[in-house]
Amino acid sequence: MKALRAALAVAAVPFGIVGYRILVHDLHSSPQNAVASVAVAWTFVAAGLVAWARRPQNRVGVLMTFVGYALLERKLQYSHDSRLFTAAFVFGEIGLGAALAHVVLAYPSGRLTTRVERWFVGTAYTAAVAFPAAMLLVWDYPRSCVYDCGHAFRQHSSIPIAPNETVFHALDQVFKIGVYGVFAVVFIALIAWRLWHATPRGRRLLAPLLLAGVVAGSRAVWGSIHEISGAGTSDPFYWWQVTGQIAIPLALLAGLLSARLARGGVADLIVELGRTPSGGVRDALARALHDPTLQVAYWLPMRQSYVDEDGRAVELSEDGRAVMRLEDIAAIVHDPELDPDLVEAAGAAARLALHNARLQADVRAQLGKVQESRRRIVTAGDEQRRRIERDLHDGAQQRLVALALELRLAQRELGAVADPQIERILASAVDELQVAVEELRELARGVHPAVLTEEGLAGALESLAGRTPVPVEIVSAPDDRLPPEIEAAAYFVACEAITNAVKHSQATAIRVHANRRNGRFVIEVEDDGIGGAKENGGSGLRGLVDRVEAHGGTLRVESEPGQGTRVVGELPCAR
Amino acid sequence: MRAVIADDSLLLREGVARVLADAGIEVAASVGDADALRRVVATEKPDVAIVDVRMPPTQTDEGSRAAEAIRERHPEVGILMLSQVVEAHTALRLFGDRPEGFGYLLKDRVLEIDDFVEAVKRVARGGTAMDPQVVSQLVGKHRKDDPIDELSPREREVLELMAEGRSNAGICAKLFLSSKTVETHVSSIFSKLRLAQAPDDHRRVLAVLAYLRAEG
Repeated sequence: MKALRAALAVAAVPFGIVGYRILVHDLHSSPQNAVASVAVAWTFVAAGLVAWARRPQNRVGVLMTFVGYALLERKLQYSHDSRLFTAAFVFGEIGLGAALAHVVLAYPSGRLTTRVERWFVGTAYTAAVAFPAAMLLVWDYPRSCVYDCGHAFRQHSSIPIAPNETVFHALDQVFKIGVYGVFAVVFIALIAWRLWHATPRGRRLLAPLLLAGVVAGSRAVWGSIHEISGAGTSDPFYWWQVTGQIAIPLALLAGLLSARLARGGVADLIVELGRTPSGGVRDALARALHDPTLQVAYWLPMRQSYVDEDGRAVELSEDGRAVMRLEDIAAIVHDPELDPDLVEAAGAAARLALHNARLQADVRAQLGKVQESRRRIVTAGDEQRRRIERDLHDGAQQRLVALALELRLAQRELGAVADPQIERILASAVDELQVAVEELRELARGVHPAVLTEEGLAGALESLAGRTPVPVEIVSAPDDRLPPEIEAAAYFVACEAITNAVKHSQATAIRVHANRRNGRFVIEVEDDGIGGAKENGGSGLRGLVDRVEAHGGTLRVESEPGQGTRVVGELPCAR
Repeated sequence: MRAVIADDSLLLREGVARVLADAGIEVAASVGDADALRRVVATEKPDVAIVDVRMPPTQTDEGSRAAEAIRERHPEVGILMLSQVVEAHTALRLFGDRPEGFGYLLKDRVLEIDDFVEAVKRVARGGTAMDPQVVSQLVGKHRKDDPIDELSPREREVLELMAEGRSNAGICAKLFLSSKTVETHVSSIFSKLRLAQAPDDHRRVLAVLAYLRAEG
């Protein structure tokens, strides 16, 4: 490849010189115009070869070189030698037409991305060869002419099969005004579409397209005016055209090399990844590739799905984004304007870091599942407690009361006639049953207080306060209902904290706060007792910590000796 | 005096019916769910309905919802709610602003037959019956500088009996005191709690409950 590029570079020099001679001697161009014309071709060749050498994977360099050679070839059609003219004429329209459109639309990836673009470029190549070829077949020497018809400049077609000036003239007009005009309009529309849909980053890269659009547009306008009015070339306009044409390859080259500069970022990326913790892989990649919208999704083979850095499942949306899959590890979702080779290189450089991050994401995903199941276990436990309470209530309690009433009625029936012994037995049976009912009621309340289900946290706390021997002040309680698991957790925290305060702290007053603070529900119980309680002191508190943490909350105990005790439970609560 | 009973336990329903019959109260109907209760109240027009809070099908609060509907449509019918658990919060919600012809008792209270019959009759006549457990929860509610702390133990007892809905005569019978003594206690309580004297029993209960439910 290197040798081929060297050969193309060297060959362009004599080729250009031959072209210059033909322009000056045969077409009678002014030397400045001829130099400018060759310079445009050489610029394309030179810029193309540089791009080709620096970005061998990208076809834009090759295409630019091709445009340059097509422009050099175009000069040969001004030769008076009829064979050279014929051969050169067939391909003369490719350079500034189809090939230029091709390279501009293929920029920056080197590939035509949409079907419309491929169709357009294919048609342009076909038209650029078909019309000149057809014109050569009907060439009618000496009347036929396509360049500078005012001068005594007449060429011979070497393949005139059916010379016919009328047909020739019609073809010439249709080609120069109709076909060129239509193609210029479509070309400008395609460029406008690309610019319109480009991402902000892409738009910066697409500046050469804009330039090409303006040049092609003005050339088409100029060409049509020239053709229709037959007016001569205006000098300033000619130089403007030349400048524009030289600017196109330079702009394309600059665009490609700036992407090349981003490749230098990949080297920095390797250095940076050595330092960043794995959570920062995405940020490091985003910086290296200059794409702040970049996302990384990690592949979990066990789940056959992608997750984000925190282990949450993600769908890879292809919608307007490009996806680079690094097999079995991750997918990089990025701006489609990024050079895929560059993304792949960055992905390869970050492979180890991505692998580590994937393992972490996997662990987080599993942790998430464990937390979820822990929450479900506690919720199911609460549900079970509610059911036990209801069963006791509707079953045993109900029956015992009914039975006690039966005995009471029997006692009354027998009252007057029976032996005082039986009377005493019945009375004490009723008393025992009443005690049993009361004990069952306490048991049911301990399992799950009915008032919590029926009245919510405020009612349950009030009931708790009413049953506590130490004065309990409910400073705040929610007016509305909370999710049942939050109500249950908050209630049991208050219940345990109050029980401990009564049993161990010698408290004379207890205050309870229950309210929402910044999206969390906070239950706080403070007493004025002796303090010195420990969070892991009793199994009761330990169980509460588990319960609160299962719902993603926290529980802390502040209990300096002599300072009283403060138990604070915080639970996430969106509502 | 006529009553209807709604409770899903047949045994209990029959026991209560016997208690009422023995006390000379006619039991017009005895049913096992809330829909049947609503029907018999409409057809029988009883003086009082004795209603279990939890009944089928959901065993949650059918009874209390049926009671609310009955109070709405037949305000002349007294309602006595029976429950396995009594809570001040629930009681105050059920009473609303109308303690007339309403009662809320722990189910075990039926075992103290005389007290229970007394409560049924009181509610049937448009009076109030509040469970002693609810009253003690309300009285035990702690407030800063609570004037209740200034009451003597005897006055506290009288206050609790007033809150249960008992008349002066009822209080006399319960505490074995003369009606004169009870009257003295009552006026002393009203002045210590800084309440205006209520002209009748209904408004007296209302005033006392309003005082007890007030937040500290």
